[in-house]
Amino acid sequence: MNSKLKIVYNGLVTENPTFVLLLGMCPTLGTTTSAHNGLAMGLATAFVLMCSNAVISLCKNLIPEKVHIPAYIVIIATFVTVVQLCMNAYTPALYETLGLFIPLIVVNCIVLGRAEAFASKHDVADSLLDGIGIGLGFTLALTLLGCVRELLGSGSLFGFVLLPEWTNMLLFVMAPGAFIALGLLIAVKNAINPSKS
Amino acid sequence: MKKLESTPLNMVLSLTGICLAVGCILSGVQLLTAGPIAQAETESRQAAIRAVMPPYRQLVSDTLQGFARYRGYDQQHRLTGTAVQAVGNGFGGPFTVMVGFRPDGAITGYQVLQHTETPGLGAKMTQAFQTALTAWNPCSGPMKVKQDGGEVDAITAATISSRAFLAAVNQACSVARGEAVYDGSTSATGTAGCEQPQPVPADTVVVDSVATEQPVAVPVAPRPRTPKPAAVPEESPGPAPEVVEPAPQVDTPTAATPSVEAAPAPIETPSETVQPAPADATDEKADNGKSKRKRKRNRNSHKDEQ
Repeated sequence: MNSKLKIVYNGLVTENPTFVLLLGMCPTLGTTTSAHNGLAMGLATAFVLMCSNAVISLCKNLIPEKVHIPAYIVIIATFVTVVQLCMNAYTPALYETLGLFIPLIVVNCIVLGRAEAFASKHDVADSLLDGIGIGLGFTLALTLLGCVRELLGSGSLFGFVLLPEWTNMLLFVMAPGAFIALGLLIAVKNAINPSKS
Repeated sequence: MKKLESTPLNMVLSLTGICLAVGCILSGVQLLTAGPIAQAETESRQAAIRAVMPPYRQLVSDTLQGFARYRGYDQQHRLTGTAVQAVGNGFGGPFTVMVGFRPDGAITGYQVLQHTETPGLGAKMTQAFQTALTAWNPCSGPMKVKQDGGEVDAITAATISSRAFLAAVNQACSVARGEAVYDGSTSATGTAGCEQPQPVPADTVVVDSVATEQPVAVPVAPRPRTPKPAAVPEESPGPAPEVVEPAPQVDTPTAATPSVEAAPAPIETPSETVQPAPADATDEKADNGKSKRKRKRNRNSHKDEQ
């Protein structure tokens, strides 16, 4: 049981994809203009990560070594398309804000990275837990980054206006602000919980 | 179970099997979601039409040079307003906007249906132009941002989005009048339709009927865009506040002027935006420039004195 919890904790903190592994920077910087967008993107990625980890772990012995990358990509792309179609059908408002970034989950290196590094070597349950851990870690990081950027850039949090308009720093809504906010958050994370390297 | 060897046959079989399974899953999901997706799109479009147009009893749609146009009619089959779905090429890619018009061509409102503009910058287009658009006289030529010598304030740090938005709205205006699509090349295009409205094409479809009283004869009968005021059917007292004026058509610029002045006053910059004719506007602009210069000169002279 303890080892199972450790897998989740590993993905959430020790190997947090955004703050420690620094993987999947494109959606991290692109979608976190608001806390809501960051959360939704994180959850969508977490779902894909869980499903792909489980399925890849399940059929890892059916995939010959030389074609494992295309096979993994096809499986990942399937789940991404399922997420995209479902989002478009049942949450049109969310799809409107995130629609552009959903297909990018396919090329998010976290998903393929975990398939390659973890799911292809562990059993289904562990792979699923790894997907949950890494997915939640990614969601947490994106939501935090989205909160910081929304608060500094638009003076609101999850759409609720908290600060007067003159405090808005436009920079944080744009890409350069994303880099700055991400750097600051990594610094804070390292101050609290230094990574080994 | 042991891992499969990487023989050519195994590789082909494995990939083929995976792709087959995936194809089945995806087609299933596609079948399941196709209905809700189409419904969500229709609903958002209907909601946008209702939001931007004056109230109507019946909605008729047609397509003009690839643009969807929706026209609303009241109980007496008089035109109450038009809505056009226009496409613009914004900073972040194409966007769709639904623009509503009164029968005289004045804009009643707009709603951006879909866009990929930068949040906090170009994305402000969903709200930023409401006042400017409803105060704008459609017969005074195409709208332009101030950077291009026009009257409309562009969104700060999003001039490209603003330009694209106004181009889309100008396009929608042309389509609403039933004329050639505005291509942004000449400034005269915008006023042409004010004098020469074209007959309504016949390929109309009733898409949204609020009243069930006389839903059939609507599409071609009213001919609201013919230049003669006689095209307006019997003036019966009905609940049609938008068409009470005897001449909803815009025959001449002079006919259009009073209706625009009667439009709800803009909130932010009342004195400048209600200008009915572009000539006056430019005059005032020139005056502003002059007075500014004068003020500067005065300030300079004060400095000299000190």
